[in-house]
Amino acid sequence: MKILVVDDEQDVKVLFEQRFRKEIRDGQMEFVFAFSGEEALIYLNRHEHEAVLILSDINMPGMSGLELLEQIKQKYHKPPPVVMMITAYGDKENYDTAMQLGADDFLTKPLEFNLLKEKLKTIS
Amino acid sequence: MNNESNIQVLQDQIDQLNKEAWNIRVNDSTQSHVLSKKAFLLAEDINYAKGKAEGYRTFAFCLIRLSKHIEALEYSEKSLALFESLNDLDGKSSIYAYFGIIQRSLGNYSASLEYLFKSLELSQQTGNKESESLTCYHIAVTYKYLGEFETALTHLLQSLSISRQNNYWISESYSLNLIGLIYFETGDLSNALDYYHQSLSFRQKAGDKWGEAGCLDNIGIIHFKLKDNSAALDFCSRALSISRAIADKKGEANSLFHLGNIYEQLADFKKASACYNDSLLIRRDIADKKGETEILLFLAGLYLKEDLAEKSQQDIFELLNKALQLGEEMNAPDLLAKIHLGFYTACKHFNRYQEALTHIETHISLSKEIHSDAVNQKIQNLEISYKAEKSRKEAEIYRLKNVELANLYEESNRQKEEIEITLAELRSAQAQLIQSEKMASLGELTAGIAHEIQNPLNFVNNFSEVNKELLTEMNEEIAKGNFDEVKALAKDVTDNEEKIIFHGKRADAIVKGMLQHSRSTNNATKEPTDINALADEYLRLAYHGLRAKDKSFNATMKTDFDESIGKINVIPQDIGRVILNLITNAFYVVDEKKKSPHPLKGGEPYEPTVTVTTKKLGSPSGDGGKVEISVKDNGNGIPQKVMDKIFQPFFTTKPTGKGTGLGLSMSYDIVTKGHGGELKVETKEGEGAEFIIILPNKP
Repeated sequence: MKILVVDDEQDVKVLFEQRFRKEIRDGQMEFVFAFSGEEALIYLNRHEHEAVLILSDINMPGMSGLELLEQIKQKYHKPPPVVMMITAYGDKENYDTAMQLGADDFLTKPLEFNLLKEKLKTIS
Repeated sequence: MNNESNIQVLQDQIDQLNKEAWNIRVNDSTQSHVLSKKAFLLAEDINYAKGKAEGYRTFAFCLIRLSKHIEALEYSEKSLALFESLNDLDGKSSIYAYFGIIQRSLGNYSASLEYLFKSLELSQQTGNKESESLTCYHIAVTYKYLGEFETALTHLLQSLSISRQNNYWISESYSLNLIGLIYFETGDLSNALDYYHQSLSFRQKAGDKWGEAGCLDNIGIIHFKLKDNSAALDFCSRALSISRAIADKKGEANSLFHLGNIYEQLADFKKASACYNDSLLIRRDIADKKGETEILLFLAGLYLKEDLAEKSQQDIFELLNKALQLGEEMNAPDLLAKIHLGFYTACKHFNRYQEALTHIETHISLSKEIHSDAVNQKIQNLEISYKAEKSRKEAEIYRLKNVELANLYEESNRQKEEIEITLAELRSAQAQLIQSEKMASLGELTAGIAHEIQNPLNFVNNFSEVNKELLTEMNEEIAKGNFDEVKALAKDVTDNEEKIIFHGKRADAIVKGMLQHSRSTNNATKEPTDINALADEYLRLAYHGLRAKDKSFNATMKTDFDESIGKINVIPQDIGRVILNLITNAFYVVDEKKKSPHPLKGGEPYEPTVTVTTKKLGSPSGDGGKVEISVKDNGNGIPQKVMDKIFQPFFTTKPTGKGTGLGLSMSYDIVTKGHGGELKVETKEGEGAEFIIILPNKP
């Protein structure tokens, strides 16, 4: 299962690689990283249908995670990939907007990786 | 006893005398006359202004009652001058009323009205209702003299209404009596009788003997006119005895004269003759020439009647000649006409037809003259009334204007109060707004904090958990003796620990920045500060701070200080923080540009430069003017799309962890809210940015 992680925080890459190191080692999961919404779209354009799941931050410079979500769900990819939002802003407005735009799930930081793993298992 | 308390005792004594004299002025004018004279003589001795003024006033009143008008005028004028110096408006009002009465008795009706209206205005001004009602009465009297009965009645009703509201028996009884007199003169005898009786009952109750006698006499005359001679005799006799008791000579003579009329009507010529003669002596005594002449004519008429034949033709002509002499002295055409008519009747009686003809001709020509004079007089009187009315109306307009002005003043006061209340409400609303804005910005801050803290916390938590797992794995590998794997794991753990420390410090910096932000509103005090020295100090601090962190950092510092600024009033640590923040930002952006892949511009090598300039700005309004502090860099400038966000809390263009995003928003608050200044930014993309602090220069 190929997962695209979108976050402007560089350390997210290291964190995901370490927390999913067993799954990566076992070949169960493959992670690719984009550090902005724009970068994510470029990747998705180039690698259509590759990513099954997208995990995106919301508050990023430039294109926000919600804008990215909107683009993915409305303009790209049929059937659209699963998109989970991961944000430090766990307020109702953000949640409602994300859900309205078609987010499949909504997780808050600090991220509970055990919970995330459970969710990923049900998808795969 | 010392002199001062001696004078005090005397003054009290004078005040007491004056008070007593004033209170009895109507009911016992003779005694009042004595007391007021005593009072003003004592007051003159110690030169006591108030005592003199009041004494003269009561004395003048009594003189008017005694028909001594010229003397009354003299004391009234003396009194007025004193009341003016004492600024006693009530006193002035009463004196103006006396002037009005005196002028009326002298036949100057226009002047009379002028004085009386002046008095009325003053009494209305001071709110002295008693004086107002009396003056209204006197105005009516003057109008009655002018034959303006209707206007007179209007004023009498006004006087009556004030009197009745306040139980002023004097003005009420006088007004009632005058209304009676007006009805009498217009021939409405029954109404006249009614009013006289009303007036009489007041005067009897109040013990006003003088007035009582007047009423009784008036009632007597009405009964005489109605040919009810026994009632007429009763009333006039009562009037006579009262007038005698109070030594009112004028009243006594009047009643005697009227009794003579009644006896003549009853054909009791002896009694009539006795009464006329008694009245004649009194009138002669009090120098009432007009009254004397009147009696002489009545006597002559009486002697012509058959039953008094013992009176010789010579006696009758003696009376007539005396009357003629007086009439000519007074040059009164109305009297002369009556006298010539008397001569005519007598001449005819004694068959002296030639003389009779001459007298009747004189009588006719005088009557014509009188008639035309009366018409002229009537016209003149109408003119006087008209003028008085006009000036009164003007006074009324003036008064209304004043009322309107007072209302306007009151209205504007009310509006002022309203505005003040609104202002207070606005202030409280403003305070609430500021409070809610604080709460809102606290909300913004909370949201920002959530994001800024949760992100580092995400790493701290998760890297810690990863390390825990890695350490477990490491133990397993140690047990297996697989030390290569152990080494690799140990390196991962160490790397992760560094990340934990980094993100922990990041959270720490955010919290510290936040605290600093909230502290910027603390009540630190402003003090005169050398802004050039402050800017220079923080420029060096920023530069060396950066050099200490990054040895490779280098930039050119330029300063251009306006030495004429002197000291300005600021909170030095706050403004220092702003300057430090702007300079640090400037150094950061020029360093970034230098490190970026395209440091060359137009072929020239890029030289990172930060310029700090101070400038004293002109002061067109004449106050202390303003001071400008500018921090300019030659970095890449600020992109237009972030321009409106740069002062928002937690907005930063620095990479995560390198800025809290609070520096500029804090600086903005310090400059605008803390110092009433401005923080502006000018930029050209690719060429740099200039942050300008403008502070009011208040010493």
